[in-house]
Amino acid sequence: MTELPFLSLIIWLPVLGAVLLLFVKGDTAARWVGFGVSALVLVLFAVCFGAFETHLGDPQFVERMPWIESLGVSYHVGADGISILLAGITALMWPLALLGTWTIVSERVRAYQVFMLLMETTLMGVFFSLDLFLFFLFWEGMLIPMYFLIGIWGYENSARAALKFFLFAVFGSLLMLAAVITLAFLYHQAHDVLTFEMAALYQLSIPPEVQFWLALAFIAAFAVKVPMVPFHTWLPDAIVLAVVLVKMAAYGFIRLTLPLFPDALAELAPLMCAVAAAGIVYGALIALAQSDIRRMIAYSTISHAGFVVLGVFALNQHGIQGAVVHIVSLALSTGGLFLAAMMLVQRRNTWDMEAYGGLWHTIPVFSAFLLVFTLASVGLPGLSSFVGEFLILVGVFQQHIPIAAVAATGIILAAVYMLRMYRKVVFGPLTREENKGIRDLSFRETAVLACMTLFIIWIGVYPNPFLRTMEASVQKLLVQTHRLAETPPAGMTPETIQDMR
Amino acid sequence: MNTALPVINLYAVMPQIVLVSAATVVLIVGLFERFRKGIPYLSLLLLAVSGVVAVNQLGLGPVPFSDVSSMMVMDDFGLVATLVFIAGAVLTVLISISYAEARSIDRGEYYALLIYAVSGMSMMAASTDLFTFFLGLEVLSISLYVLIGFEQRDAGSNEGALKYFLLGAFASGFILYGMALLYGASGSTEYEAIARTLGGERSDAVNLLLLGGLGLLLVGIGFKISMVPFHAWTPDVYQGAPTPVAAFLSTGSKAAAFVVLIRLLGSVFPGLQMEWIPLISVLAVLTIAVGNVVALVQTNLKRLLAYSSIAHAGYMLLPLMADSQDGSASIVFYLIVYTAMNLGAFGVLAVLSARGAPCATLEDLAGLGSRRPLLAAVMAVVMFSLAGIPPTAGFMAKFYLFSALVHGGYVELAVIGLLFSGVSLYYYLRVVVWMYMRPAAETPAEAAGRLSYTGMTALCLSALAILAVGVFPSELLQLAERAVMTLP
Amino acid sequence: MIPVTYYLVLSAVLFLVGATGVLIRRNAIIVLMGIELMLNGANLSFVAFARQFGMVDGHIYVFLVITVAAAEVAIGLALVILLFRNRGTVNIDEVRSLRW
Repeated sequence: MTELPFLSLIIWLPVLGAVLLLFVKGDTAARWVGFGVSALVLVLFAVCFGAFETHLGDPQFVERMPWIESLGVSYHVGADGISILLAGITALMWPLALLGTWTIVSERVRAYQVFMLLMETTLMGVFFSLDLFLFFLFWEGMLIPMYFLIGIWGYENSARAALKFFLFAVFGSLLMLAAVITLAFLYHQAHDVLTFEMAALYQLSIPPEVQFWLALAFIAAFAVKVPMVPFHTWLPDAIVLAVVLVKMAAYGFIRLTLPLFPDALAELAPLMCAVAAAGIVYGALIALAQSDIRRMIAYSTISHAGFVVLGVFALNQHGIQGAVVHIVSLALSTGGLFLAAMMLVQRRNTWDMEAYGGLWHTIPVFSAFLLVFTLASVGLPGLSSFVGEFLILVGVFQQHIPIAAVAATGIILAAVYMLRMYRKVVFGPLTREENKGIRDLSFRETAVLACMTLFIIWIGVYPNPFLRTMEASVQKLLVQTHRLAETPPAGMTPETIQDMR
Repeated sequence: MNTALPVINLYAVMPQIVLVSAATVVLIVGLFERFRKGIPYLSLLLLAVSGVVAVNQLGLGPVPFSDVSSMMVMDDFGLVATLVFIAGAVLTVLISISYAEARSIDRGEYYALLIYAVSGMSMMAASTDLFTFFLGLEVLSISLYVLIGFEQRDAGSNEGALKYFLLGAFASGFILYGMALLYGASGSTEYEAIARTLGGERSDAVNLLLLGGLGLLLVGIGFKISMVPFHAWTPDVYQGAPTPVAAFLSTGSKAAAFVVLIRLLGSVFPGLQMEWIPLISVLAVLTIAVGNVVALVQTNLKRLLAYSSIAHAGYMLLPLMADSQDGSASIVFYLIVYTAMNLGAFGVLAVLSARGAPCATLEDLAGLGSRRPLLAAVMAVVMFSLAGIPPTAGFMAKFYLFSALVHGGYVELAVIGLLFSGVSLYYYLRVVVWMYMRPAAETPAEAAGRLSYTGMTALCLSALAILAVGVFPSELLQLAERAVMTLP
Repeated sequence: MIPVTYYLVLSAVLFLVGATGVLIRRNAIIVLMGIELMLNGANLSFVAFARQFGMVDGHIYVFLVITVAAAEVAIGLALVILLFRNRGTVNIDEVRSLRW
């Protein structure tokens, strides 16, 4: 059963789908192909998840073959507890997103499906790569589909927004590329073997001052995409993909920055925590001032992303687990909120909160779902975000009490702006003529939102399966990050790399 | 009298002989009006034949041309370079066909000169003597002077040709004088003899001659590869030249000069490293900076590509400093990828300009994404590759180049280069923005009618090659590494 | 006997005069003459060095260079004539439809 190369299938199936799409005629057929392929990926993933052994901290379903031998690059993929959760939420969200935007995207449908599938491939690739070079390849390659998605199907000023996003992202990535090359070079100097294996590079002892610069380069690449203040200015124009990016960038922090640069983190982690906390409050305050639903969601994402970064740099079990859960729940709650808002805007064609009001009476089903997503974003106990935020705050309290206090105010502010939005859109008198004849959700739309709601409640009520899945992996990560054990956990030595060749 | 005649090994120069004969055949057949339509296909065939000859010799070298004086050598380095030139010429012929017909410049001489130019480049790549290098360079340059001015009635083509001619001849003067000084220092123009002089005891006078000679050679070659501050001709000439010729000029002739530079700096002048490394590193950074920054404000596509090619020349100069096999191999790899990318970019313009008004500015590309999806896709692949975004070959080339640089200990230069390549994204993406995200103001002239099949074939081939090498670079990397292995 | 240095100085002067001519004169024909001067300066060095070393290869090179130069001039003059036909001028400053 486990003989099948599951991860490769999950990674490359969407590309096959994209190629297939080139030969498909007609919008509806293209939609079905896109949805079908992403659903198939979800099924494959479910099988994979079923076979995943939660008590192991090491990567599972490992596939490894030489690829570019003269550069020491191999095609090496595997999934540990952290990556399987993040890949899982991606696999779940993709068919839902495609289904949710079924009629919202009505121009160049085929190209839209192609780019969405290509993006799924690059995301999965990022999560499953165990080779730094491969990781970087997927990381950078993601920019192309993303650029087109923002530029062609974005909102006003989208071409500008796409360019802005791309430039920001690439400057970060290029710094990371320089750092990646330097890491490989340092390893080559120390062991006379050229390799990009993450497991091998973790073992490398780097002088602290070099670590500091390399860590900064990596952080720059990830911070742009999280997006952390002050690198967030592209986001309000390109909100479509914000949720996806948070996931990626936080994963980058966890997978690379923490275990590669333990010494530099002693200096950088408190700083990162402070910046993250500032971002939480800043994003929340700006969101408070928005009357445009899209921009409000964008700034709330900046605020939530701050929580994720905060959790990661708390550098303890609670913080990191909380961050991962929060990423998953963010995809569901903010993703759901945005999807629901898009459905509303498709009917009324405006993002202005003031243009709505009294929807509770005309479209009750929609209003109910919007309520769930709003409350989930606020962090109501029993819904998914509560678990993440709670764990993160517990983690941070153990390290920096003032920072945790500042971050907690972000939750209060979130309640204010979210509920304000909800009140304006749904409650109040039905004053506008246009809002009276509005249609409620179709069956397709209801199904999509219901599915997301189900997961939001599940994580909120019974998060244990999710926490248990990543527990062993997070522990291993922390051992690595704090260099706890005298002898580092069995990783890769230059000899094993030679043997594998 | 008892004079032993030198033993001459014609086999060692077979690719060059085949190329020159091919060009001559094309020239003669071109005299007959009734074969006019067939000339490009004949050229393709003959280029393919010379390619096969070169492939067959791979791995057999190094074989010197004669036993007395080396002059030329047959080694993998020269052969790989020759193959790259031939591939570039094949693509150029393919994109030329409809363009040349539409402008009635589809005469036999056009294709014959193209192949003569390739033979010149091949000579440069195989030369181990300054004089054969000079001859190859002149064969190449003289062919190019005529090719650039081939559109006789077009004032731009004329002026471009004159400008390239005057500056090219000026540069040749520098190269020749530099050669004279090196000859004076070592009593020979052979690379080996010069390297020997450098290795031994040298007096002040000899040192002066060597330094002066190297400096003048660098000025001359700097013109050819459009290194700052000798780059000013590039945008004008690319803009004026017939588009396929500009494509050839920006790839082939630049590649040939780089191949010579690798041979010269790598195996002849390591003894003067203290002198040329600081100089080249400053000039390389300047070249990258000027190319990328000035390209930002260009609206004419050929000028934009010209500045981009200046910037790429700057990147390729960097690994010369690393002075390692890796460094040289990374330049060879970059050259191969760069040839495919730039021919693709100019090729799209050539195919678009073949009918009706020339496609000259960014505005002309507006709406191309919906008007000509395939062509726009090719252009997008090429632009992403030039910008160095995976999964394209451009990324692999940049990665290999910068890692060679880091391994040579030049981390700062690598970071500077990478940051400027970030700047370059802006102008490459502008092309993509115009194609996909701006609707056309009015339906342009080229919208009607079919595009040339041969041109599209060439473009799709190079786009596919770019993607394939981006995903599976191993084979090509090994080829590049094997090529530099034969260098002394 | 005249020492070889004299010839070298003369050749350097020739080369510099030629290069200066290329840089400051605007008449295409005169620029061409400047280029010829540069090539001949180099030729003179070759001959002087060959004479000093007592070798013939320097002389042979000079013949080659003269041939090459002839080919270059043929092309150059053709281009100038073409330009004159199209524009009615041989002044390269007036030929600025292409921006510098």
